[in-house]
Amino acid sequence: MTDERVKEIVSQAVGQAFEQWAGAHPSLAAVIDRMMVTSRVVESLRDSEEYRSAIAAYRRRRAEADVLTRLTELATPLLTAILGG
Amino acid sequence: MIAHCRVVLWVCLAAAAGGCGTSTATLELITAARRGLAMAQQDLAARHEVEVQRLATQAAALDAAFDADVKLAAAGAICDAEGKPVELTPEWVISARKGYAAGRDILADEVRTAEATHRTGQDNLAAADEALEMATELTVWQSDLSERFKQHLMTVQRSLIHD
Repeated sequence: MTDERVKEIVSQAVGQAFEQWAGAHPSLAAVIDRMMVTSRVVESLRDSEEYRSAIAAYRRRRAEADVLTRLTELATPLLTAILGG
Repeated sequence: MIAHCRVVLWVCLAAAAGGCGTSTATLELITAARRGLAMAQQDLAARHEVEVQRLATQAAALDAAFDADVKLAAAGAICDAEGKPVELTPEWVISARKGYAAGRDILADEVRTAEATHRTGQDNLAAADEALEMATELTVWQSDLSERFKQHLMTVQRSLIHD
């Protein structure tokens, strides 16, 4: 929202043109004139498809990690047998 | 076939001896990124504080302006377009109140927007930090697995030498 939008809102509220109203209420008009209203929209990272997909990939990897750790432990006797000939 | 497997496994044994430096570098980069996020979080909090203060100052200025206009009108110090003094009539007070209320509503909306923006900004940084924490966990796990694999191979090697 811009300062023009601020004047428009006040104009609608008082039922007359902002400049006309400002003539009878100079101090209030001066403060309102300095108001800057901004409309900011910040997107949520957590709600993004990218983030959700990365978290899902992490969970898959964690599950694989447990299996791989167990396999590594089980591999020792097998390796001894193969390398020993 | 068995002989081929043996060659491959001995190559694996040799390869497993290296590779630790990569995970250390990755962890250092992740740590630096997380430190940056913590700094950004502090900056975000400081900027939000400034914004909240700015809006509070505007609200106080609006209050003071309302009072100032009443005093000016009562003293006959406000003139209309034709140069005639504006009188402090009920209509004038109602009109002032409507403009003042509109100003307060705009500021209240701004405060709500600022709070929502701040919350989302903070949550985005927290989500990014959590993602880096998960990356740390995976990197550490990968490094641990490699280390464990190396130890298993050493155990195999030792048992073969003893035999």
